[in-house]
Amino acid sequence: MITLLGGELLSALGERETRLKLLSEGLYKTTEKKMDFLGEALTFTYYSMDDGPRNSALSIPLTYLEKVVQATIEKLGLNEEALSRCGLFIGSASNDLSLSLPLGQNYDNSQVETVACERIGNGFYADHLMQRFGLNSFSLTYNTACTSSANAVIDAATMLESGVIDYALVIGFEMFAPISFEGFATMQLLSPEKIAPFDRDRAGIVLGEAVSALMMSRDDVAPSAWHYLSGDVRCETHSVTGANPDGTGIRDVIKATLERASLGVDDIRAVKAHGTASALNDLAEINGMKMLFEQAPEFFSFKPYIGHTLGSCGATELLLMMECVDAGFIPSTPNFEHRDDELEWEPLKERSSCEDGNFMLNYFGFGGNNSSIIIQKRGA
Amino acid sequence: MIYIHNSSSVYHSEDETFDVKAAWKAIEPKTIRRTDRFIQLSLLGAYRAVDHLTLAKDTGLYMASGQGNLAVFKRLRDQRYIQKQPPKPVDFINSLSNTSGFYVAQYLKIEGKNLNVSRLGFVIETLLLLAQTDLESDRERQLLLGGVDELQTPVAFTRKTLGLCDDRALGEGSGWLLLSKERTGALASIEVEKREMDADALALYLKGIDRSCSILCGQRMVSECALVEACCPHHDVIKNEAGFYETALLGAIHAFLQSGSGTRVFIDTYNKRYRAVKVAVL
Repeated sequence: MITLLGGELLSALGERETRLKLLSEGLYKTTEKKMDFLGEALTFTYYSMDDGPRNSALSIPLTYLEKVVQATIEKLGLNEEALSRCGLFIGSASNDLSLSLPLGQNYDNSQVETVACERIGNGFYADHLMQRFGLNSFSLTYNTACTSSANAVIDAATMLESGVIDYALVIGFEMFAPISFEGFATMQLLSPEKIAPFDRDRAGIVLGEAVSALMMSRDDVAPSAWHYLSGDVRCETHSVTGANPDGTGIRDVIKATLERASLGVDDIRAVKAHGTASALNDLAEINGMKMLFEQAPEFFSFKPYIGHTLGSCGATELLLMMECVDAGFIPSTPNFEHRDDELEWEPLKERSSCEDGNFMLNYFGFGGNNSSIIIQKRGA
Repeated sequence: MIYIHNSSSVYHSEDETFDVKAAWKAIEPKTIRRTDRFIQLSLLGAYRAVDHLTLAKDTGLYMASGQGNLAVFKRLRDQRYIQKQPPKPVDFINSLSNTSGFYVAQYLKIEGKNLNVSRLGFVIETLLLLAQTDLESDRERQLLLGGVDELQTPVAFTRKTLGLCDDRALGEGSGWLLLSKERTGALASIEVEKREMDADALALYLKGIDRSCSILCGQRMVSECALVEACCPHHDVIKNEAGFYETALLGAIHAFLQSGSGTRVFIDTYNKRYRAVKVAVL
């Protein structure tokens, strides 16, 4: 079986002790981002990884990527030989900046000669981490919007099962990117104040940044109380920007994931919803679950705690789920105040005690990309 | 073992001008307003590979690109820094790499697994290895695997970002393979060597290749072709002379399938490492 060994993450929740305290109490920390939008000064809530000033060099994710990978390797005590059998799967909705930066600097093509002759572009971060930490040569960088690192987890499990690799390091990362921020604003998808998944008055997403590293393996290589049971990816073609509100696309991916794990809905202890707080996506998610679950399972969203971390949410929210259950609880969904009569179902309003079980994690993205994963923690 | 059931390749050299928009508009005018040239190039290649077929709804779509849809990033950059405007929604949506996969899936009416991946080198070889694993383990029944790269100007800048320090001619392409574990009706078998090899391992691998096989040296193989020729003096060793683009392997496989017979090993290099893919026409 595929094991989940844990890892490290950076998000707006801070260090592990702080984030578990915040998660258990239903609290979170946000900052503000100001944006000049069509001549109008707008302020949006944002979930920042750190509060201090960040210069342009630090905005390049490599510093953060190395930090979480190093911490994960140290925490798990992996040696050089083990790392040489470790594949790398990176998921992000953003492109590697190695090429974006010279493209930006060269916007008038006046600095062509300053570009070094070096293969750069998407895959640059993977190549760097592979060499820096002596990882196996199997690596892929996933760019499937908000499902990027969830899909990386699913394919990491496939390659572990095949025996091509014995360990898999899955990275999810998303950092503040002005064009993404402005893109979501242009599409009127940003909530100006707070993110309130499944609430009647939900007003859209609040963006956040997160960098996470999750290590996976197999029982015969590295046993763990945590297992990856199954995952599935589907593409629905209703709309390029979201799931069909009738829920059929989401039903299909959840159903396939349950079947792959040979589980029924009653075997699921709790559901980590995608829960972006956009009107139609929350509706689609509830409608999809209603087609399979006879009554509402315990479900919640991590988005009010860390924001919508786009391509990073797959690995980051999986790690947070493991941390919460290891600490004995399933978190509540902050900011939920008013039941939406169209949705009918309500997310967890108080944290719930939990030590083990099967957990479903759902992720949905632009491009009709729907992913679902089931993980399990076995009791002592 | 997995099998190729159909293939296609759209290819243009650096010197050609090809109106992708007009070509795609003639086939499917409905999506023209929402798609850009990169997406239309993807659609055109996928269309040529499978349009005469009715694909199972659960067919997977695995896409790769060496550099992705760079033109849309240039448009977003110009909107922000030159025109001082927020991103146009259509450009913002199309900047997400899997948007091309969405439009291909929508056109072909398939709803299976939909991936978009990248890698600095060996992107197609690595994606083929994932596809082979998914098919052999019955996780997927059928996959449409594509690689798309659009020629970017100025070519001097593009050449450098691809790590090509000589005056290598560039190209662009959209290559596609329909893959499954089912042998019946297939054009060819395809086998991806699971190991990434150093020069010594490659030499050993080459010595094990049957004499009847031809060998195609990939686009990053320049001086390394001599190593292959030295190891395989009795084999037909061919160089890929097409204009460079990162996903050219798929175009080369398609061209070989068009030739109609034989077995060919495709070898390429990146950072002094090697990968091999073997295709045998049935």
